[in-house]
Amino acid sequence: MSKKILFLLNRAPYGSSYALEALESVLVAAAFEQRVSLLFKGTGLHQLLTGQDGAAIGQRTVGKVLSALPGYGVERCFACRPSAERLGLAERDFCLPVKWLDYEGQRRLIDDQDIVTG
Amino acid sequence: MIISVAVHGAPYASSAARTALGFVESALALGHRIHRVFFYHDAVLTAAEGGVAPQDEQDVQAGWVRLQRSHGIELALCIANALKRGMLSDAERRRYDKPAATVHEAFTIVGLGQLVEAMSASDRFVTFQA
Repeated sequence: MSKKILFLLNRAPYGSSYALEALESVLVAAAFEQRVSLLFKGTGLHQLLTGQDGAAIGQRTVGKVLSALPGYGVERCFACRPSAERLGLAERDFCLPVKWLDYEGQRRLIDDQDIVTG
Repeated sequence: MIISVAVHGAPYASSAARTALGFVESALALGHRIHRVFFYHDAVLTAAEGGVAPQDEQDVQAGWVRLQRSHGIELALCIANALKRGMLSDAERRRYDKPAATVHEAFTIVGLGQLVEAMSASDRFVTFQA
């Protein structure tokens, strides 16, 4: 059965393994034809920055994995506007198009899901 | 209700495993069915066979093993997360030619498809983040 699954991505791309490992579960959920949405929050927004090179620290490049998401049918990417304002980030810095949400928009997005996970 | 649970935190560094264990025990006591517990990220370390809990702390692994024995709950480790953290079943130990298996026999190593299956097959999917 296809479910609406929201992944809350709030971890920095390289400070820990959380970001990449979470994206692996995103890819598998999408491959199994779930209706996947992503919400980037807090320092998780740094995952979206262009010009990343994970090879410099012996890791896969998080931004590259994200860029592959539309090919897996993941097209619903949301970003927390208050987080971006706090961190001084704008959509021109990102490798994926996002839809901006304030807290009320995020509440409605979460409310609309079957599953919310990380 | 059919419930599946994801645990993301390491057994002693994070409260996730302990909180998840308490949640599952309560859900069972209330008559719900637990379809699968999926250990992801550092939570795969919950299955470490060589772990010895301090005497004055709750033995998290023993709690999960008890539930597996009493209720037949599937304790599933993500294979990719498990292998890179040295968590090997006997089959994986042989496959990768390592000296010893490290995963307690109550836990099974599965692919990420089983995470999605758990989401799909359950009425509720509850995540305990690190």
